[in-house]
Amino acid sequence: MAGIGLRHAHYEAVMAQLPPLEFLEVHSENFFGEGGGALAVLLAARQHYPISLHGVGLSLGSAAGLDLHHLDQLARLVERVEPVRVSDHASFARAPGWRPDLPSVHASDLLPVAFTQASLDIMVRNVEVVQSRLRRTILVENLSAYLSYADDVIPEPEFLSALCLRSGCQLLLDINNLVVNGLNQIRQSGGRLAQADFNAQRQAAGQAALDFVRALTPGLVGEVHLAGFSAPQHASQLIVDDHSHTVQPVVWQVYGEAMRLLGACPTLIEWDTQVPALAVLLDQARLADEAAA
Amino acid sequence: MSTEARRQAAVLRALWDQPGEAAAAVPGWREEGLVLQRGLNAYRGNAAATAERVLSAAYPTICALLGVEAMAVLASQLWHAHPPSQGNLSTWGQHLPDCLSQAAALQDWPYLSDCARLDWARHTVERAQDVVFEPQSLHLLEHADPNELVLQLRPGTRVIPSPWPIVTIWAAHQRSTACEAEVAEPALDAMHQALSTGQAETAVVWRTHWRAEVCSLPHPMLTWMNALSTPNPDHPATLATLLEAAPVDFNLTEWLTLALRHGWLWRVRLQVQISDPSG
Repeated sequence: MAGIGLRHAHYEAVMAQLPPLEFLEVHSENFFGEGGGALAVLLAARQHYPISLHGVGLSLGSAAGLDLHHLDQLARLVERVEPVRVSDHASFARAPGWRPDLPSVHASDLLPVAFTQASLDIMVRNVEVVQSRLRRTILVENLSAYLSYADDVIPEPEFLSALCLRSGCQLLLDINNLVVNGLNQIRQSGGRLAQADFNAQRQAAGQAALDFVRALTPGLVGEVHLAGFSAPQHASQLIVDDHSHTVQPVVWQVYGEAMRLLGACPTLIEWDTQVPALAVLLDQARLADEAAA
Repeated sequence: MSTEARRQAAVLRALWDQPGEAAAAVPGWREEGLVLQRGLNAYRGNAAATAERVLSAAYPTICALLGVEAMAVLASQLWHAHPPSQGNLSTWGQHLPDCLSQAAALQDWPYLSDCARLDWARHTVERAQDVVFEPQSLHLLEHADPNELVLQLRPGTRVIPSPWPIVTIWAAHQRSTACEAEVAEPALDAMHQALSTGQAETAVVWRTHWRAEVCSLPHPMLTWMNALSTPNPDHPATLATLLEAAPVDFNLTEWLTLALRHGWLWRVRLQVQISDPSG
């Protein structure tokens, strides 16, 4: 069931080896050009694997609405690739700028939306616009977030479940993000970063992640993401979801439990920073298959 | 503007402000004090890394000339002066050449901004439409009226005139991967010599396969190639019009030979085919 992210460093190796994988995932925005080598590789890979288009730039939570040019570019890519899944994040990035020459600014990051009714209404509307334009349902991924809002009133699993039920989209459940969020919350509890044993923190974060999964309305998860993160070097450091390492043991543990709760799901091994040899990713994909079995 | 819209605009403004000023600018954070600062710094760190990565990839020659640390500073300055407006970051960074020409600290390297224009042209042509050369269309040159004919270069082809030897500078650094210069000594010697003699070069950037190609354009062809590489999409100039505007030392046969050798030319068309979208 597992796939891997197709990154530039592995174009040649993947196309030469054609390893057995359930699917390949790419970042949609990297293929918005009219042509070029990267797009040619993707279209060639499409002949051998189902492709999942995973976006980072739609800004589905933007109160300023969607960038319709961006949506047009995505729609064109979807037509070309005929992907097995299309996804983006439950985040915002786009808002009006602060100077006359900046009608709109895009943060190029996955910024947290408020978990409020108004914010939910905005995201439902935007997801509906995307699905209508693409003429297909999409998946929306939960974030790793480093800040939140004082007026967050809807628990995140409830917010995401409502988003799926109201818009008809599916949830892309990123288990690593759940663990990173849990770890950062635990480490910062009390307003300062705790010095407690990191292993104990990881176990607590794993339990919080599992509670999150159990709180979701059943039947909404359409894909799972797994990734690794850099361990903090010192107590004052937030853990950043940098997709730079092998999947952490606690994430594997939550994943195994989640698969038993949710049923088998297409699963992606994400690795975006310090990308290793292809063999490492393939081994992680194999471990995902074993954990889900 | 709704509450959520105001909140989101304030969040972006906070992330683009200098560290220390943001907490007061954004109402509504649950976190405060050091915890808030750490969260903001995480997002600012992401932005800095993204800006540096994207700019270094788009401007490998500038990166090789200035080094990783200077590139990080430039990326940060550009990110703040010209924030991205789209989620597709391959379009971000086009203002760098102008920023380089205006930077007082870089006045000792006046060729940087033209080198950056060359890098940006390579960056954009590598995403341009893929086309296949249409040799059969050359027959039109023999039979059709020049007042009806249009020459089309491969999409994304750019001409960059410069008073500096930008092609030689690019060639001296083209083996660089990201910012790690791997400069061959002969190429470096050629660059120093070209700079010391004040050699001017006009670069042509185009793509026949997957990678952008670069070469130096003979001066008599500059006006001609400029016109061909920036056509009016609906009413491109005809062959007859271009020939009228060409300098006296321009030779069409010489240009055509060069264009075919390098693969600049995509096809020859009748103007009526361009006016008619189905053509």
